Amino acid sequence: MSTPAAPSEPRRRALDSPRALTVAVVALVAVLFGLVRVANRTTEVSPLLSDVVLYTLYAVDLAILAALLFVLARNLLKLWLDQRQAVPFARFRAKLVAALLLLTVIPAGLVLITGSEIISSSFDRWFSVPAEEVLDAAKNLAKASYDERQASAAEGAHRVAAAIPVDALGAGNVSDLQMILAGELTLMRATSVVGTVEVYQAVRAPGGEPDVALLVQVESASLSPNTVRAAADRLAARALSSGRDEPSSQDLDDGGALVRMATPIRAADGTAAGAVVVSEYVPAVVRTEQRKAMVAYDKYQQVKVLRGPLQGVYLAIYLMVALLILISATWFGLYMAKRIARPVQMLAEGARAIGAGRLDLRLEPETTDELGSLVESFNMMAAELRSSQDRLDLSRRELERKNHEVDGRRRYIETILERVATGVLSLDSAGAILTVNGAAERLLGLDQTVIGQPARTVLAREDLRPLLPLADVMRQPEAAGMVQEITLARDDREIHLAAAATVLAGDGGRVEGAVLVLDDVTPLIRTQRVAAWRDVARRLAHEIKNPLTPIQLSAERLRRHFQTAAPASRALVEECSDAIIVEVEALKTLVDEFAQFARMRGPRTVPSDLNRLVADTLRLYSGVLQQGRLRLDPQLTRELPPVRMDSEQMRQVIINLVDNAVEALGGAAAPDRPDGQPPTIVIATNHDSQSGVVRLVISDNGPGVPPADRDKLFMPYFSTKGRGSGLGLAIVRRIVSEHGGGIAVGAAQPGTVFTVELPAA
Amino acid sequence: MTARLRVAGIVALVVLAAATLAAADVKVTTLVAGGRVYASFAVPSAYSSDARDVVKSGLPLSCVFTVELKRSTTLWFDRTIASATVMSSVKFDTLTGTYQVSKEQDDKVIWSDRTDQEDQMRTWLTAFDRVAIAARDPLEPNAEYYVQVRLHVTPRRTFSLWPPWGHDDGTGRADFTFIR
Repeated sequence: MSTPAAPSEPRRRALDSPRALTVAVVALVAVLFGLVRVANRTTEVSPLLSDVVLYTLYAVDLAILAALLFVLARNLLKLWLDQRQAVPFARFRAKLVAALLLLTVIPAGLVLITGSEIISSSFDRWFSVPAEEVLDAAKNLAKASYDERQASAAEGAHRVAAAIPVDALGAGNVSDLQMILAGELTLMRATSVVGTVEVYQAVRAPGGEPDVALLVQVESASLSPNTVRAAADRLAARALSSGRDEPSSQDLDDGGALVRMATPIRAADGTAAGAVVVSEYVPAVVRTEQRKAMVAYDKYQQVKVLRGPLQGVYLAIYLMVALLILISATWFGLYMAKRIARPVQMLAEGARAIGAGRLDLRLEPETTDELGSLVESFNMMAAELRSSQDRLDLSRRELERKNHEVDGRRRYIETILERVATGVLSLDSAGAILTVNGAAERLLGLDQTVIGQPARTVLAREDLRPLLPLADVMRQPEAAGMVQEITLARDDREIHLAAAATVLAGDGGRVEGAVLVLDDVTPLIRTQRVAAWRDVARRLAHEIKNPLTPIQLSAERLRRHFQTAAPASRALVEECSDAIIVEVEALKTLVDEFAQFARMRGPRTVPSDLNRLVADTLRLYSGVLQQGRLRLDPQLTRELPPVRMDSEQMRQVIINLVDNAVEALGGAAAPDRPDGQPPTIVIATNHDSQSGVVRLVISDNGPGVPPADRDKLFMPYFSTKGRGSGLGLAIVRRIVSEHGGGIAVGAAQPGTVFTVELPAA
Repeated sequence: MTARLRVAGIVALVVLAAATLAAADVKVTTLVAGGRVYASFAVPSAYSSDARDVVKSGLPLSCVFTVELKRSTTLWFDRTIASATVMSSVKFDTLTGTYQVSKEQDDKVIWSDRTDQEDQMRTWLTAFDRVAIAARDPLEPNAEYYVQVRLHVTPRRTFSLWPPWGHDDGTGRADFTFIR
């Protein structure tokens, strides 16, 4: 299982800052406001600018829509991936985002649809029939007023033109012309019309271009003096050039206007010889109303003509506002979802990291609100956990140290138990064996497989049965322990054990187990017996040897006294005295042996070559064993290490053991064994480097020693030969023991094997 | 899938055809005199019903003609040798019923007149005579050139999502061989 990653450090985006968000929103609103203002003036700016505004709006709409789709797609994809990857709290965040999106998208969509319909219906209402009819009527009124004035001016111009004879067009006829025009002015006054009348004569410019020259001008007295005649001149030239009536209108500084009509004065051949311009004044109040009506009509018509683009502008603006609201709401919803989910996610990841052991983790609170407090509480919890963990680590280290000590002590005790000669078995409260040390294994012939088995089952073995009461020590009422001396018969030998069973009591006296301690006291008992025999021997030597000499002397005196007696008496006395003397001598020999056994000196050891000693000793038998079949077979191992020994005493050991073997085989002249083999005594030496001992092994192929007698062979005054003092092997054992070694007797196939182990120097 | 693709293809062809038909044809004639190229062109259909509605509403209507002298290039865009932009505009006075027509070249008014005749106004508005196209370098003798005229009318009564830039209301072309 992978270790959970530490929570990633939160990324501080600029948009996460409320100040940045506020600035962005204000800037967006300002841009929007500016666009709305420009769009509102779309009919007043140049057409290209209108197009630019329109397409800019649509471009902005598309950009916002693309941004909205991007934001939505990115966040939804991220949520989907988070859910796929089982990111903590991904499902919670998805639900939160879905709820916020539903809360924003549905109302925004409804507002968008409703608003679009409202705009469309508003445009329909703008171009309603009544409004159009009113404006059309106003335009027609203004137009009719203008056309009436234009028609009046045209009528006047035609009238004047008809009244002026072509011949009168000349600088010399100005007075005649003035009279004609005065009549026209009088007619104007009669109809309350203010105006001017100009008469022009056609002239040819030097370049041949037709031009006009003003002959006479009359005007109403009430006409503003600021009228500009240049316009009338151009109009006259235009009429002269085109040969037809030319209308015109000139706005004046006072707000009024002059409605002009120029008409050519034709000669008899149809050519234009001059022109008449009649201008009628339109008062400012009338002219202003006319213009107002026409401007209103034009505005209406312009809006009507540009209805499509205008509706597009309004829809684009509304769409932009709606999209801005939508993207703002969406963004804000996603932002809020993130603001809510991120600390929770951080906490979850932090908890996982702490669970993985990163107790030094500290989360950075992003806010100062309740979620920030929660993060701070999490940090405090992590710090407390870290402190507790430190304390636990300290306790654990202390415990480990103590365990190490206990383990060392246990190993020390186990080592001691393994090394000690005392056998130890531990039992649990149920009586099953927990441990068995090496000495117990050797003493009882067990191995480690008995561990876990009930002690009663293990000790129920035939040779171990005397130990059974010890296994029941825990069952005895108020038993604290048990001590017994037990003798086991194992491998045809008797083993004397000092056995002690101790019950282990825990708190409240509850029995937790028991320990069986087995001490092999066989050597001790043997030593005690030898010591007892030495004491007996010393007493026998002391108590028996002293009267032997007077007895012998008395016997000899009796024999001398009866030298002169009757032959029968002398023979009897001599026979008796001889018997007394022989037996006394035998007793003396016996006593001497006892004395020797009792007062045998300690060995004076020096490093010596055992092989050489064996060879020298066996050489003594070379003459004795020449006639018979019995033969000695020395098998001496080379490179034998030296042995610290008393050569004289060890020679006695070798001789004693070889003599015993010779006697067991039937003497020097012994016949072949029943199996046809010649009587043979093998004297071998070897070295056990692991145990550091040098062995001397003397074996024969004789009849062997009964198993029951093997352990008694080394006891004083025990002999299987029916003669002798029985001290030979006892002395051998004593010598070997005083050399720090040991001797054992075993059975060969056939025969007997004596093994002497001596420590190497 | 194939049926859908077929329908989509037909729709695309119809849209393309409509766009092609919507653009008016500009009749272009060229004149080479004194090493210079002059272009005369007329597109009466530019004064459409929509344009008429715009004019009648009192809004000024502009026809911008972009005249380009070009030389064909193989495997690449045709090379523009020289270009000129002329514009005609008209404003209708509802009260007097007269059209004020003016023509500009390089942002300078080169001609202006007034009429109450709509046909006259249309002729003035949609035709230019002998617009000079000044090439920086002399034309290559016996080389093939052509003059392309593109018309853009503002304002529009209709709106499409296609940007106004690059969308012409009329195009025309006249090929010629420059012979010295």
